[in-house]
Amino acid sequence: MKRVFVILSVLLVAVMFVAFSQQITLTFAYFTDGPDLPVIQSLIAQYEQLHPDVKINLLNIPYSDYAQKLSTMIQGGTPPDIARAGDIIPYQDVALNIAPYITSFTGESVEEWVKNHSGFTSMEYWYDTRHEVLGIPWDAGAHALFYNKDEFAKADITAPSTTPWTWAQWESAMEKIVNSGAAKYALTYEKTSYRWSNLLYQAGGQIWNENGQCVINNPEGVRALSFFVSLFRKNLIPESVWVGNTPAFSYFQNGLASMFYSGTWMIPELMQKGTVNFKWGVMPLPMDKVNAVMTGPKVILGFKSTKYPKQVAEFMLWLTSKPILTQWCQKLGAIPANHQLLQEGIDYGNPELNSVMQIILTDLNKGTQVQGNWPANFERDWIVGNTAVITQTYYPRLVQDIVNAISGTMTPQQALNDVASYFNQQMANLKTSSK
Amino acid sequence: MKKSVKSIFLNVLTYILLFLFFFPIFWLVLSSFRPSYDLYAYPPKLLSTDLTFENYINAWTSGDFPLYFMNSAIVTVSSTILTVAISMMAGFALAKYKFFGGNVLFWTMLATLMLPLQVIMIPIFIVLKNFHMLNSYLGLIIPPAATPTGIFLVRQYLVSLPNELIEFARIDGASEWRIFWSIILPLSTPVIATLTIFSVMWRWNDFLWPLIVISNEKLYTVQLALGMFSGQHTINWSGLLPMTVLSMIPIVVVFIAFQRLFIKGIYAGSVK
Amino acid sequence: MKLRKFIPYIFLAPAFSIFLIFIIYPGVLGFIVSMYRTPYSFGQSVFVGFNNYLSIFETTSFLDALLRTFLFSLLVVPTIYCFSLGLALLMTSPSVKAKSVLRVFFFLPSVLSGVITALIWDWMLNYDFGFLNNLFTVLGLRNLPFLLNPTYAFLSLVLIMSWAASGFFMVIFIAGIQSIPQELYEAAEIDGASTFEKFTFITLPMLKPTSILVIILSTIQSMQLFDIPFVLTGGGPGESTTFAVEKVYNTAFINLNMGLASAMSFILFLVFLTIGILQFKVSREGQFLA
Repeated sequence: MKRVFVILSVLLVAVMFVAFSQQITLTFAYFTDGPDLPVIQSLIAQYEQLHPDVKINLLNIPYSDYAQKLSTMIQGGTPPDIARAGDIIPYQDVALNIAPYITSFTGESVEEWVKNHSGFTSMEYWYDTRHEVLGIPWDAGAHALFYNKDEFAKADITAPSTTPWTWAQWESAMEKIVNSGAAKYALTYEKTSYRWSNLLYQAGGQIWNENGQCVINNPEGVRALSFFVSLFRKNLIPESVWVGNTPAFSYFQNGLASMFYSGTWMIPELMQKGTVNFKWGVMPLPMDKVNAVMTGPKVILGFKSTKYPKQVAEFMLWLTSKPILTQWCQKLGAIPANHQLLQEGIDYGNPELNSVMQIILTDLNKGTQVQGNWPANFERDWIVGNTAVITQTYYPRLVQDIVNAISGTMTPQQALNDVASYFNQQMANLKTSSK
Repeated sequence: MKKSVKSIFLNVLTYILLFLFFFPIFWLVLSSFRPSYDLYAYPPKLLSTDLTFENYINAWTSGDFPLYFMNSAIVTVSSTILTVAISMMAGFALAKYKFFGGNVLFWTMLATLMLPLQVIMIPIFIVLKNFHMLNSYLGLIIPPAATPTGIFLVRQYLVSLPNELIEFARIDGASEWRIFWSIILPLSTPVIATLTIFSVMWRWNDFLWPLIVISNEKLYTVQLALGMFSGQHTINWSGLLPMTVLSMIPIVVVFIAFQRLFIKGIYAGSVK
Repeated sequence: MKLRKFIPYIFLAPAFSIFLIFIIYPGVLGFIVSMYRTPYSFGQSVFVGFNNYLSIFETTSFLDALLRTFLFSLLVVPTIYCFSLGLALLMTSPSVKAKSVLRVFFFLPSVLSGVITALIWDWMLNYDFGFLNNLFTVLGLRNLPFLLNPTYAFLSLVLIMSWAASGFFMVIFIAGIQSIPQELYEAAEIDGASTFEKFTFITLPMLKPTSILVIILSTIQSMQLFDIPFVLTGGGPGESTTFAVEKVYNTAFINLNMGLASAMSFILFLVFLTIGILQFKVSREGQFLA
């Protein structure tokens, strides 16, 4: 009886809600990237206060099921209105072009806005090739190297805060950590092809060349993989993370490894009480031939099928506008994917965070400003064109072959040859199927 | 004397197995009270001094968990009633009648277990949309209620009931429905109890089906809410573990309540 | 009398109509998808007939995973059978006390999600901080690479899956054992049968339908195993714990090739159907009432 009553009252409230409000509801598909849920919730509350006619239904989906849920909604004909995404490529045919709404909202011409806003070239790429704005770069994570200050003190090493800081120096620091007994391992390194590719670029390698051929197996690539494998051979990195599947962070948390190769998204996590019980810091990524730090922007995009394109575009533009983006980045230690904000720099409003971000941003700027083909290679490999499609779709093969090299079933050269021939074959398939 | 040796042996064996089966779960429960930095502690800490309820409090307040538990309860109870009813009927038909197409129907149903649901998610979504079952309790309750496992379970149980029971009833002029209702159902208490426990567990723990059906946080079930603790790069263990432990409690309660019914006493009276 | 012919269909109708609408019909649509090449982005699909099926067999990778899955089932199913039957016998034995509480403890592993199961076993089996290896260190034994060596990892998963599934099947066996008429045992005792004889001549034969159920269901479950290795070993080391359903999943959601993934699922579907029917035929089960 009680249950029936509860159900009835729930239904009643729902009916009343629909009947008495003139609000429009925008569904916003979202995944978290660290402890950012409260932040987005508060920003949405801010927006709803400014626009009482708009209600944002935040649909928080576990990341591991995000692609599945979103593709089901899209192919089932009821996509959300707005989505957070790691990449525009899969959504290029269903994304809303917000170009028509930009000028009235921002007062800038579309060209001007694209130039000012685009912190990473992917938006410019889409604008140049299709004259459309399909989603706005939101924030970016950059790879970062964290370290355990207590263990570094024990091993009597000072962490560098400036470059040049080379692989050789890095390796001898690692050996010192392990030999001094400060920790069982020197480094824990996240098991993703993306994280590993920093080494590839630092060695001067690349995945694809200008002609769309996979050249990951050139001498630079082999050098990167051989170096990585040698760290395992010397027991400086725990095998469990790569040969097994243990989360890399666990080895940093429990003090078994003194350095943690990850990214800026770990910063809010690390700053939270109870995550680690030691002092931590951050240092520039070591370099080989090149200073390279990979960054990955996230985008916010709307869907063509929405009933309210104007409201969708406005919300997207508001969320990525300079003041709001600044708030977001301050709370999360994120890097704005906005050209102007990157130039001006953000005051993170907290001395600890400011000093951490200072190191990361300096490193990032150095990487993007000097040295030959970087970051053009990176964009071809991961962000734009068919080459990026292949990398993003078949990266598990790269991870698998790296593991093969670590566990010794292949030499680094064989492993990368395998990746190259597999990627080239997929590229050939892609070309024949799109004809 | 011999009896007591055997009894000691069986008890010792039971407790060894208990240790092997339960120790990992004990570790899980213990860890749900640990601060995050101790989750992977090295060396592992059997007893840490800094156990805390903070995880539970933070996790419980990180979302509208009373609502999620309530949604799960509504779905689980309704769906389980439906599951027991239709599985009993279908299992009875498959166990006690020989009819054209029976085996084909049986194997079709059973083989659907082998279709990875993820792969047919999109067609399922479209069907649900056409039936206006998206974002509704009905969509969470009705489709998953038909489970091949449940039907198979009932069928196998009923197969072992002697056919004479039914033949005698038919000679006495009982209708088929009456046979089902007054003879089969009362004899099926153990399998009904088993199926109830399983169905409660399946529906309560179901993740994929709610993921397809629900796109509105007001209708989230506990499992969908648990999923929200996993982000792109990290899993919030100090939120996920306490809520996992809490979410197991209803299943344990149902298990304890229904397992009394395994103990029959029914059978002995009916076959003479 | 004529009406009786329709009775079984009427009893089947509610369950079967739900299947038909929500699983079988979408399944048929999925079969149609398996004849299309689906693009990397959400756009138009191209009809390719049975090409997806052919391209599965172009490399051995799916077949390897399928064979690995068979081998896995071959090891897991008997293990689960022994554990669950053994537990059920203990949990119905008059000599064991506090059975109603103990049953809960044995059942609990089946309640956990794959992610949590994987986490727990990483705590237990990790090479460096795992509980077992630290126990070995204390005892002066060598650490074992439970999850770092292909064979060890495969066998670890056999045990983990048995751990996770035995409680569930124990419950099924308990219900089965409880329904064996007590009179049979009493009669056997009068004839002076030993415990072992009672087990082989009464319990086992009477549990035949239950055993078939347990074997078929555990075969399906083990062939579908996906989430635990996905999280715990990532399918490795190498491909040693990459099973068929993980291939399907990767193809659908990482390679975004829904057509190929659907084709793989239908092959799995047929393979299972064959195995299931074989298991059923071999056991010669089925005693229908006309």
